[in-house]
Amino acid sequence: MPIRKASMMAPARADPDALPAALLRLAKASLPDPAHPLRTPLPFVPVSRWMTSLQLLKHQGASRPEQTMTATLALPTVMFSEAAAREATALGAAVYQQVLGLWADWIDGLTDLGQDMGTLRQVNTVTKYVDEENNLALRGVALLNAQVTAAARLMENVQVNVAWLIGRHVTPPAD
Amino acid sequence: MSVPSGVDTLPALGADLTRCSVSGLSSGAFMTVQLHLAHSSMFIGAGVVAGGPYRCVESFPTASAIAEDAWVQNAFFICMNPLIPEAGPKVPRLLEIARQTAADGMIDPLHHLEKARLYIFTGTEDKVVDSAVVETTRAFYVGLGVDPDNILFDDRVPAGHALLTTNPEDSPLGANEPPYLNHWSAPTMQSWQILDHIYGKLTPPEGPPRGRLMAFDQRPFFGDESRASMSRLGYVYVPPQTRKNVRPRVHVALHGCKQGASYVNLVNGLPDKASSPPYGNRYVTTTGYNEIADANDIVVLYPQVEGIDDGRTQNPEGCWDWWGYSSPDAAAPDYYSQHAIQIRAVHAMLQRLGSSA
Repeated sequence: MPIRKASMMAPARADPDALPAALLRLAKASLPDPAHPLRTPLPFVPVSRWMTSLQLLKHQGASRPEQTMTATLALPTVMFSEAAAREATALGAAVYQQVLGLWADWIDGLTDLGQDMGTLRQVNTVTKYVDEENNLALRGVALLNAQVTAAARLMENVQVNVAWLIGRHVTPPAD
Repeated sequence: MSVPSGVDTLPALGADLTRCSVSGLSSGAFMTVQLHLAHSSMFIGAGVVAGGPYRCVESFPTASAIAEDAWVQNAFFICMNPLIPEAGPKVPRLLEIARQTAADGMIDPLHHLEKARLYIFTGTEDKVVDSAVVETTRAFYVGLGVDPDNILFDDRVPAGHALLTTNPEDSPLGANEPPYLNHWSAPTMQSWQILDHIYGKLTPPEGPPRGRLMAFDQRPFFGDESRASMSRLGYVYVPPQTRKNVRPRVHVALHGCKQGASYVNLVNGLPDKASSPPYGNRYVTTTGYNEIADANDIVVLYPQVEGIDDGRTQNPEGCWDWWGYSSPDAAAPDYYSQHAIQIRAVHAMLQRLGSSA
């Protein structure tokens, strides 16, 4: 579905068949489509969203207890290990650096956005004004999205690395 | 499966398949290692730019009770971005896995690697695949018996995650962003250095390439199965026949994620078809492989992967498979052996190039 914007090149001429075609598509989307078996009919979208969330919960439920169990079993070994203490310190420092990086990206992003919001531009049409205002709002949302995604990724990174490092103290590799 | 107009079939060139080589960036580098090990009897060397060791994602299989989650978590957090080097892949375990794979007959015997020539590169500013991981690729090959003198390992250039070129329009050296082609001040393209190291001193290119760059239909090579995540079109550069009675050699050049010819960037989860940049064409036409190939009777094969994220195949960024997304069974993934769908496809392409018309 093309999104009409204020670009000089945006196709603006209306197609008289567009509305009936869109309504037909909406109607078809309400029914199961054999060509796209993974696509849920529109009336069942809430169920599909719920199933996606459930799937994530199931996957997380399978990963985290496994990693926690590995870490718990290794605790007695790790507590008195000099190597483990060194790794823990290095890991803490690495996470701290990553958090600083996230802050830097956040501040940079906000500064960019603030500067662009404060830049005087020429706007000759209402269309362009609306488009520019929306663009700023979308960029704010995109910045927030990037931060949240990066923070989630860092959290997963820490979980996997801690479990992997601790697990190796229980069954050390042959190196 | 009709062939679109303007698209050739991959030609039979009678190429010398005992002296092939392969190189790639990022996911293409991980696949380079996989292809090299799977068919080491055909490859005399490989170029690995920002890639990790063989079957790296199986480092920590108990990361999750769900296999496909474990492979992806390994890919991200152990094989690309371990927070500290100690959390990266461990060579002894991966050597053990490689030896077992060879013993099971799923890849060529490992003794073929003894004389292999390796170019392995990691930029000091690479923030996508950590240099400590790429260092394990070097250690992995040494562990397999490759003569360390045959390995050119370069970890000193302040480059980001990219293949390096002399093109002024490419990104600054330290960038970690699309199109993952960065400009460096060296006198030659990185691709020339890779091929020079693998084949020995090559004739430097003189002027623009005079051969033929062809688009070919890739679908017959992977059976048009969507799990392969391969594009309809691949590319091959055929140099002009400069020396009679010389069978051309073949170099396989593997693009990285987001670099395939048909890759379309995703914006808010949707393909941005209105402004998709032709990254793939840049990889095929501007990375210097064709120029060096032209002067040295080398055919360059550019197989192409495309992005798919349809609920079955999770490869939205069009990466080569090095974590098992193309495997029918996630619990027993096969992305690394001669039977893996992508490796089988590239091997079939090589067989075609090696056959006589």
